[in-house]
Formats: sequence, structure tokens, C-alpha cells
Amino acid sequence: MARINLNKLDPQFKHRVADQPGGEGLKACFLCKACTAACPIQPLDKRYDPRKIIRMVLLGMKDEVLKSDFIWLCSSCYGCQEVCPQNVRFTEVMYAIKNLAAQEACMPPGLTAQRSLLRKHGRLYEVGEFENDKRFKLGLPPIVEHPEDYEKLLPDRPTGV
Amino acid sequence: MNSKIGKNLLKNMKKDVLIIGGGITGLSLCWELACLGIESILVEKAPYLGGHVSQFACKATQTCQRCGACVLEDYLSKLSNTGLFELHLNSTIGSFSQIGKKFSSVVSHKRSQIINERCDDCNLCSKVCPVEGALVRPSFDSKLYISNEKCLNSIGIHCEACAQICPQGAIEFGEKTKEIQIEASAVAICTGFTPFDATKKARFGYQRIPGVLTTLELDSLLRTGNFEPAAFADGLKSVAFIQCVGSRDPKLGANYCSRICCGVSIRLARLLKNRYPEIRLSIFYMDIQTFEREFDKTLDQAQNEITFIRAIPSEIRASENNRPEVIYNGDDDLKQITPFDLVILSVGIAPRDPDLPKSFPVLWQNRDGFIGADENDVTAGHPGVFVAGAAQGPKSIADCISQSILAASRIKEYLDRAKMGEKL
Repeated sequence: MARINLNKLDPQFKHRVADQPGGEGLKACFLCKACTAACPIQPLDKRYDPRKIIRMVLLGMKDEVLKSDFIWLCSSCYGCQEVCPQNVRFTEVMYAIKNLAAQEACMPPGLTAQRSLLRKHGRLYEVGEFENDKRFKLGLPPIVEHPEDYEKLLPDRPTGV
Repeated sequence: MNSKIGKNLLKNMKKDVLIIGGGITGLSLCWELACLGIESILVEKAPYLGGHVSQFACKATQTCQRCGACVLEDYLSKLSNTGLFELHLNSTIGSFSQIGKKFSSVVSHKRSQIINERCDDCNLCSKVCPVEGALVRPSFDSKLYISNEKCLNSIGIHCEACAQICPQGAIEFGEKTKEIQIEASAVAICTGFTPFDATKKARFGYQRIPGVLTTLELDSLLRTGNFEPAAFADGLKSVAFIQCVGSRDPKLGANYCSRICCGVSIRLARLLKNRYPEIRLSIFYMDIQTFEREFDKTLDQAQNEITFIRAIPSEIRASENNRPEVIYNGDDDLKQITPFDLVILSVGIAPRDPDLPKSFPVLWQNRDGFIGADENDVTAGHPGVFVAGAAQGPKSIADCISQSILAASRIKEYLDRAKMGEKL
């Protein structure tokens, strides 16, 4: 494993994560590894290890966490949260971390593309003539896109800051 | 000792101290008080003395492992030679009142339904009994007792299965509850704990997957000599212990360390290793807590015999051939699914409802549900009421006894001051 440069650690990072909604339980972790054992992603990609992510956050490895691509691998299955004896609610902690990453403009390209789709169409999949024709034949009402709300929710700059 | 029970029934008794609970704390307190010349009345709900400790096996390997289980027999034999206490088995505190500095209480006594002299220990009754655990054998050399907590008759359902099959006619029903009036100057609550209910940790498959037991069950099997490795299809080759089941688990309302389970598991594992050297032993833990004196030496020795795995499993499931499989994340960050012949859940200590009448002075509960006492002390906030042992919080046998010694000196102090008429 790469060396950790103590000078680059951010001692405030854990507090920032813990202050986010859902991040509250972060500091209660005992490192018992029940979450990692329950995680379906960890066997596929060892970089995504709930226990290690918590350790990294507690150490203050802000850049290594927020700028990584592995934090986006969480499948939100809530398995970790289910087995945690300490009520850490790790899936919620992951949302807190991902929100912080978005604020720091550390979103992966895929998510940025999804964001612009939402802004443009108000939904992740564009509905065009073809789909509405099919719906008409099946006797279903047409779908009208309402991107207006999303324009308000997702401002122009892709970072959201 | 049992012969003493019948003598003073229905007699108004005056003694110095009423001890509620006949486990290791109650017994050692009784003995300490007797040493100070203070008379006491011991009230025990079960039909036998010793509480949980009476189910524990001696865990000596080549040398003594200092588990403390044998201390119970010491106290029983010491107490049987002293006349300074009255014993009431099968009894509960019925009502309670306080007049000045005197406590008076009615103890209701249920008659033990197997008559010891007639019983020839054929064990037929326990074979026909519909309720598991209603007929108990506290130790392998004792006779059977009917547990008044579990017997159907005690909860109002008529059942005479055991009485009908008994060839000696040793089982009798229909005895009415007898009540005894008691007066005492002080009360000591030694009601102990209840083991954590492992079914609450549903992912560990207790009572669902064969081969998943609790430490208490294994201890009891070893004590009674019913532990049979040969009963396993391919023999007993691997045993896993899982720590912190019902301890350090705020999700299940147990946000505390039970203090004894690491010691219990390590001693049991070493005992198994000593008896069956070919067994592969693993202990899954999050951190080993060594509260006991010089326990680090035992831990050092244990590390040569047992694999310590620093991981709590996420799940225990049944394999295809119905053996328990432990799913955990190993030291090399790989997800492991390892089958074991036997998985022992190291259950924690949970608070027990002392089952006292409503007229009893209200005891405060601490955050975890144990009876609150002043810190490092045995006083419970009411003059004359004392709390000792595991009723206060998780404690080992040695801790319970040292607290009894403290309680005895506090009670002596209290009684002396009360006698001199001091304001309390």
C-alpha cells in the first residue's frame, strides 16, 4: 500500500462527513469488518472496502477519498447497514461522502452526463416520437417531459457549488 | 441443606438481612455475612442453588485455567456448615413493606414437586415432559428438579405427564403455595443477569442452523458430560467462536462490553483443544478484552492453539449438507465462506428483571437496563437496600465475589449504625 503523507491529511474531513445528514454514526465504527463481509462489491473491487473507507475518512485522507472513482461503486444495497452492530449506517455515510465529492467537483463523467440528461429532459431516458407512438397504439397517454423543475434543482455549473 | 427448608415454614422470622437471589453473589454474600456473625435469609426462585455458575464446567487443561466455576462448590460446602442463614428455594418475594428501618416481606414458597428421597433418577419424566427445560438437572451429580418457571402447571395449564409415568410416585402436584412472613433490617439484591437471547441476532442462525450453539450451552454440555464429538458425521474437526454476540451492539440495545465472554471463549477453546487435539479452532473477534488479572498470559498461550481472526462475520448460513458456514472478510481482504462443524456464539450478559413486587422501593436503572448503584459501590439509593453482582452490570465470578465482600462490609456498617440509633 502507498505511504500516507501526514502533512496532506485534513483533520477536519471526518467532521465534515459526520455533519452531513446520514454521516452521524461515522465515528462509532469499531472496525469489526461485518460490513465488508456483507458487501457484494468488495469481492469484485478490493478498493471499495467499507471498513477501509471509514478508516480513510477518519484519518483525513480527503483527496484520496473524494477524488477516487471507487466511492461511486456502492450499489446501495444496505447490506452493510443491516449487519453493523454499532449503527454506523454506512450506506448513508457513502451518500454523505458522495455529496461532498459532488460539491468539490469530483463527479465521474458518467454522472455528469446523467446530470445533463436530467436537466435537458427531466428524466434519465429521453422520450421521443417513437416511444409516444408506441404508447398511443397501446392506448396509453403520451409522456410529456418537464425539465423545468430540474433546471431549478440543478443549476448551470456542473459542480453544484 | 435441603432438610433445613421445611423446619421454619409459616413461622414469622426475624433476621438481619434478606438476600434475594441464590447465585454466586447471593451465596458468597451469605457466607461473608455469616463470617461477620450476621444472620440472613436467602430466597432463590429456582429449585437449586448456584444460578448460572451451577451450569459451568471446570475448564482445567493440564493446569487450572482459573475460570472460577469450582468456587460455587466451595461456598456450598462452607455454607452447609454454618447455621447463620435460612434458605428458601422455589420461592419468590410476594409482597414487601417498610416500617421505619424494618423491612417486612412475604415470601411465597412453591413446593418442589419431585420428592428427592423417592426419586431413583430413571429420567423417564424428562422424556415425557412436553416443555423443554421444565425438568432441570443443575449438575451431573444432582437429581432432577421441576422448574416452577417453566412447568405448565405453574402457568395454569394442567399436565400430569411426568407424575403418571414415574414408577416411584415421586412427583406430586396440587401442593398449595406456602407463604412465609419475613422481617429484616437490610435487603440485598443479587438477582444476577440473563444471558443475551441469541435469536435476536437472527443472521447468526441460532436455533435455525444445526451446529450453532451458545457458550452457555457448550459449557453446560461439557459439565454434564453430554458433549459428544462422535455425534458429528465426520467427527468434530473445526469449531468457531464468535465474540460480541449481544455485547457492544447498540442496535440490539447492548451498548456495553460484557467483560466475561473473551475469557469464557478462550478457556472453552483451550479446553476443547486439550481434550481433542486434532480440532481446528478459530475465534472471530473485534478486540479481545482482558479484564482479569494476568489474563494476558493465558492469551499468549492461547495464540499458539487458536487462530484469532479479527473480523465479525456478516452471516452464518447452512451449507448444502446442513453445516454452519461462516461468511467473513479475512485478513487478506478476501471474502471467505468457511464451513465449521460447530459454531459457538459467545453471548453477552443482559440485564434481568429482578421480579420484585411493586411495593419495593423503586430502583433506578442505568442506561443499559441494569440496576443502578452508586459508582463502584453496592448502595442502591435507599438506606438498607443493597445491590451486588451481575444485577449491577456485567461481572465475572471473581468480580461478583469481591463485590459481595464489599456488600457484606457495607451491610455490617449499616446494621451497626442502625442499632446505635443513628440517623441514616
